[in-house]
Amino acid sequence: MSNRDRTAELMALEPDEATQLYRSGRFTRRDMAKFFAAIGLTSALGPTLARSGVSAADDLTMIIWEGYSDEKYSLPFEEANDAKVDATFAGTGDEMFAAMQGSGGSTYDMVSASSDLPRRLYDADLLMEIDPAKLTNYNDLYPQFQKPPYITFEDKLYGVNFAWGPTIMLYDPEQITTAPTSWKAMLDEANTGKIATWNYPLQIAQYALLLDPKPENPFELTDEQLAQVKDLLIQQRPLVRKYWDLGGEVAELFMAKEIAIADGWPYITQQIMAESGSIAEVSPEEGVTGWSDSWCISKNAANPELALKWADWMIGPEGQAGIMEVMNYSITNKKVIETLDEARRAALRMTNVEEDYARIHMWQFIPAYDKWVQVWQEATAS
Amino acid sequence: MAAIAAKDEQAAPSGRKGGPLPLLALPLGWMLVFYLIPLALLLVHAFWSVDYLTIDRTFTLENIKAVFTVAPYPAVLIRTLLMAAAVTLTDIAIAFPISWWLAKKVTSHRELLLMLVVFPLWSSYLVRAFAWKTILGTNGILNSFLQTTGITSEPISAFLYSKTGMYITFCHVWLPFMILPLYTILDRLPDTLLEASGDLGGNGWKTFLRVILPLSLPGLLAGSVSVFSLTMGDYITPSLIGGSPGTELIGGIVADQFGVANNWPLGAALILPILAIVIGLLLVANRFGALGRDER
Repeated sequence: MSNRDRTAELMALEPDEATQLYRSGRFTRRDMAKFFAAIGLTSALGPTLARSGVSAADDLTMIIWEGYSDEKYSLPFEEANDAKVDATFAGTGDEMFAAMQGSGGSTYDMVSASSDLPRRLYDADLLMEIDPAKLTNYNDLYPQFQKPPYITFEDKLYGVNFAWGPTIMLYDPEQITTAPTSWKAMLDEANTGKIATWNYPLQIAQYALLLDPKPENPFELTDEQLAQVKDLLIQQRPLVRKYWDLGGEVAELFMAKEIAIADGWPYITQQIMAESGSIAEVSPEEGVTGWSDSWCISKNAANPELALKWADWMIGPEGQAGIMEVMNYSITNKKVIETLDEARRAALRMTNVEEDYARIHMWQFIPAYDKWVQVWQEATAS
Repeated sequence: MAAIAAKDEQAAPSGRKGGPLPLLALPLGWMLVFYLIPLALLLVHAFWSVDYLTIDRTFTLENIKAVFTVAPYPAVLIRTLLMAAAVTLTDIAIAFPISWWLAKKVTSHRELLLMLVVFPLWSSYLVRAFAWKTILGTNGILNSFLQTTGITSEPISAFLYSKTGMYITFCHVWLPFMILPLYTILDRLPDTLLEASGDLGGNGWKTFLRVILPLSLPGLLAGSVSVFSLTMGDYITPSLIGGSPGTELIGGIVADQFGVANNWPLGAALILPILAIVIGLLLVANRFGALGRDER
């Protein structure tokens, strides 16, 4: 039924009839919003409706990593579903968690959670279980992305894994002429005042890769190892130009020649190249940390059906192509990956997905995370 | 602002039957429900603790203790106070001559000039902070100017992402809050007093110290409280213009506790010293009539 017919039908109703239908469940909240819009109450009730999660259009609200709502793939989705994607960028997973918990999960329908986050969201009772049968593209995913441990709790699925990638080292070849090979370059006095590093306690894991002996799992650190990383960070402090918060900021810092080296994502490289800036990527010899991102749906989402459609869209051919093109990230849909030529697969770090994936220390849930936050703040904010 | 309030008080016939209570009920109720109660709810968190994802509501003083003992909080608190004090003093030094000139020397287009003072407030605070980024950057306007005029040969990177940059930005964005109350009070300062001081042999400096300064104290304090507390609580400028080691202010730490670390109790405890200082300042300012009491 087209939108207009439905609205016409709604307009024929009396307000109390509508309320009754709503209570009986035959009338969705979206219908309610349309109904109020139709009888001209939107302006009066607008704020109340917005707060209770009902909006006039089919709004899909999300809190995400920068770029995950790029028009390249959000516009076709909006057109196909007569919906509107309303995204907020977060600089860290912690920010996503705080935003989700602060509103009891009612402000955002969904969140692009990296591999460390779903556990916390699940423990806080903020996630909605996902039925894979409702996802048309689900069976095209590599088996390892269908039901990975970071989005599976008590054998139930709570996320749709759609992208992954490493946090690498970026540098400006115009300023640093010999390619650095180690994370040590981020602690090198030769780069004083030219270093930017991500302002995120989780980055402790990246610097833990420099410890000797190297911890087997950089996300499971002893207190002693944490203290050693803290020393590294304190040693790094006087060299740092900027602790960055958003990816766009790093691109801007490189473009303005404020910095010469930073940790960052392939998306940042992509942004700088799009502006013909000078940038190069290095995958340091100590190894890299990285993320595996999933769409998780809030338990109190106003639009759970639409959220599910978005998740499905993003693991489908169009969404996955967009992630590769816009974000420069690796993807999870086997069928789509198999259509790519060798060079493209190599460029996107997906020559052999299982092996390439295993090589990255993927972010994981950290039980004593407040300790990490404390160490990070003490080392960077003092 | 103080003077305006005082004027109104004089103009309104006092002792009218019924009083202002019915009129005040709505704003007072609003303040209570939407400001004071939430604030109190927030502040009690300071005496609770966080247990992974939930708040443990057992009374504890650990957070308060942490504010004064655990790094980096004490250092950041002191840095914030020093920054706020420096910005306030600088704004006084800049605003006084401007306000004096506006109140006493300008003969035409005074409204237009006042408008220019207020004008920056029409744009978003973010826009102004961003504008300073383009001015202070390594290849920014200031460095280009210094290099083309030959004052420096190399770009100075210490303007942006530094305390210097934050200080400059703060001084600029909060300046109108100092100029306006000062102007109001200086505008009302009778010229006859200045003439009397001169007649009695007071030179310019003495007149300033013994007549102008004491009489402009309410405006000075009103402006200072605004500028000081605005600087104390800000976290936008530290993130845009600061963000390098040693530039974090307490506002940013508080924002992080709520928005990132999800540790509301510690965040609430960190607010307490800020609140205490601002309330203390308000009491001092009130003592000197900066909040509208007319003692003449």
